Amino acid sequence: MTTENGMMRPPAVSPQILRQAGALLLAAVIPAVLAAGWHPLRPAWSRDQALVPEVAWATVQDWRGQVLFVDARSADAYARRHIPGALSLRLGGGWEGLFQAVVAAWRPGARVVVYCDDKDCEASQSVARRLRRELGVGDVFVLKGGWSAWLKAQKPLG
Amino acid sequence: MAESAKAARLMALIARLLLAAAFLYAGILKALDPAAFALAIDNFRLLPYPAAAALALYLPWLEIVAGLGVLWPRVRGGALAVLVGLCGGFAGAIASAVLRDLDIGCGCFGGDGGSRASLLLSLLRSVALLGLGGWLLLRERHAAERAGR
Repeated sequence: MTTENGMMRPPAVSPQILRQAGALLLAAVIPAVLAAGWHPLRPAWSRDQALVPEVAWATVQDWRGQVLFVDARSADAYARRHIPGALSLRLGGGWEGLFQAVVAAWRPGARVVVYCDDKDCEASQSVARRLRRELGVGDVFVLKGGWSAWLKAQKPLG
Repeated sequence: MAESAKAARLMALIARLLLAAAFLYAGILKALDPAAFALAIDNFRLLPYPAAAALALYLPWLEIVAGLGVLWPRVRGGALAVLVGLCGGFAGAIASAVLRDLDIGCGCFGGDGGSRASLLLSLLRSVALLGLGGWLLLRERHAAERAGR
């Protein structure tokens, strides 16, 4: 590339930098491929396998008495109001103490249903995944529509 | 003049160490649990899930490799270019999530945790790292020009 007076103009990113970047991009492929094959926590290739299954409130009602509710919303939201009997559990600081309370409340055979604010929150999935891993039980579910769906179901019909 | 050049070199060294530490820390945390990171990427609703899973396996290692590269003069320019690209991509994805009012964590330091409020903080951090990386990349380019003169 030359300017009007014939001087060489350097490219925006030098070919040397591009070559180095290309080599680094390629170098990262090797451990990624190894992780895809052998990492104990490698991701599933389909969303259905990766996510904790969702369950509708109508179905949860049929399980009455056999359900432990876990509230994954903020501490403030939990303190204001929560599903009766629900225990608060959030990721980040304070997990250990709250998790111990969940372990103490859980009875063999009980299903665990985790909820957060609404369909656009992801805290319930994150909490449910970790709970399933640490509690070591498969019967962990996420409440479809979360707190909003439960609240809506409490309103009298008509 | 020599004093200011010395101060700029020291600042660049500190900036490189900061950038390398941030990406090594973030990369290692995500490489430990790619399944959680795949869901964190999926939460952004920008990619089909299998692409999110593939990225979750690749991105942490790219961050680690590029983070180490920043500390190695032979590939420093390329490593900075990769990190600037990553920061730009992360900032764009987080900004789009903020605009769509998604209540998700950024997944920047592992898959779990975070919320709508922490997303803005993550956006600021990405933009700050983008600025830092961009400044270092410009310095590399000027140094290469001087060397080639």
